[in-house]
Amino acid sequence: MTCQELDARLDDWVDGLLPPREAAEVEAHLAGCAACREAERRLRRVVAHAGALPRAVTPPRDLWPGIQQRIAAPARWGWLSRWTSPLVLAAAAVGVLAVAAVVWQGRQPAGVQTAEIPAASPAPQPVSAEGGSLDPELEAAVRDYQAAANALFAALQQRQQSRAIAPSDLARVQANLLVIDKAIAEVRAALVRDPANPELNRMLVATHRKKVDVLRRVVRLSTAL
Amino acid sequence: MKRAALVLVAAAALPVAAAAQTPVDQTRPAAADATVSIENLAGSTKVTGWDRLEVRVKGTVCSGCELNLDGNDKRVRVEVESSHLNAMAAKSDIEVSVPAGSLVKVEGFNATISIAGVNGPVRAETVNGSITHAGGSKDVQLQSVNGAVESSRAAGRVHVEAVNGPVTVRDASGELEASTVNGKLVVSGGSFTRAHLEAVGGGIRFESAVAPKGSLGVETVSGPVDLFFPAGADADFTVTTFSGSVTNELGPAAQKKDEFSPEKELVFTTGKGGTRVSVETLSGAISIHKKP
Repeated sequence: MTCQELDARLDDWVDGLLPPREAAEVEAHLAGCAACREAERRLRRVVAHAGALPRAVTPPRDLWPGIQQRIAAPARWGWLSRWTSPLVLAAAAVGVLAVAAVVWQGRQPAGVQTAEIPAASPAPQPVSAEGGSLDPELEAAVRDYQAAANALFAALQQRQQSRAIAPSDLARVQANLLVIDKAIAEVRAALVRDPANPELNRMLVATHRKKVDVLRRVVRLSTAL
Repeated sequence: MKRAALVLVAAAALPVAAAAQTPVDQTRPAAADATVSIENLAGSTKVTGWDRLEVRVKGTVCSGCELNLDGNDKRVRVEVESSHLNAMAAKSDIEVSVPAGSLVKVEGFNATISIAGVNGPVRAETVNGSITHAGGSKDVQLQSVNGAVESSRAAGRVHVEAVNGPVTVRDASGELEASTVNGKLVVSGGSFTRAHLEAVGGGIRFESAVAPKGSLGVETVSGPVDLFFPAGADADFTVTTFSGSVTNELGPAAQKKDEFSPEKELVFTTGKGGTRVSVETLSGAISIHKKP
């Protein structure tokens, strides 16, 4: 593996997302390359800031294995199972912590007060309120994703209040999130009709996951401003 | 009268605004396989691969902005640093020439990005702005939130993603991962060993070829799906939708899975089979067309 190939994989390596074979190659390269070890160290330092993060940001818990076991369906919808794999959920947790840490600690403009992240708004009502019933662990996972999305959106609002991003940019992000929210509502409505459908259960989690992914990306890029 | 005064004021301000841009032209040596990281958060970044062992940055940066070009020959960093509280109000337009074999990483926020002639891996990410890539890079990752993403002639691993913008992939080959939330995703020309396309509300149109024994996976929540295959293509199709419609010009019609659910399924083979094609939607209409 060359330094360039390592650079291309460094983010995934630090997030723990590399498949075992590639991870072994990265490890071997790092063992013999001081420059790449330094690049890795710098990246890990950002992630390590998460330790002192404000308490309100709770990462999504690694709940999917339990849900999957209960649903016990064939993994036909590969993209959904990939989005909701334990590794990805774990990475999401690290990612949420890391970006929030950078937002709250790393790049506050001079004179701007650091604020606590507002508490997450109430999670949406579970499907059971509309006549169906969701697996309790699935409901918990959805609530966690919702909390993560709320925390990330609060971070963006804070960026806007400190004038790091314009209100119009925040409005654009909101418009995109509404599209995802609409899809979430549609999946939930389908779940009312067919609560045991494993594909719908996975799709619900995956769509929530997509929302968090979008927010993570915008927050991360906005922290560079 | 008031309008005329406003026009005069605006006209008087224009030369000032234009003069506020500072020209830049800096060069530093770089290895043939250097990693070049570029950060220009507002404005435009144009990256071009060339045959010289150096990185050159030309263009204009905004008033109150500074161009930093540093690093060593293996890792070069290009950054437009802004002293503005709202860094996105001040735009900089830069053209960066890099060794063609470089790994190029570009980040923006309110910025358009274009990359051409780079053979090394390419990573580009922005929030508001389009990303355009052209060339034979073997490893491409392009991501925008509000903006079109377009890649042509990539040959290897291609990952393209937008939220509220169209995604277009032309004449590419290898493995493709493409997704959009609300934009239209169009894949045309080229041939893939594996292609995976996802959308939430946006539609997907696939007109490329899939290699024998290759696979194509397509999923949407509510977006329509249009696939084009030649009649008699050697492929195994599995199509599922919870409440959408299914139109099939290549074989049988879809059937309801059971009488109590609106879910429909369609499984069929054309030619000798081999290429795996799977399509799943929640409510998006699925159409499988015969390629003219």
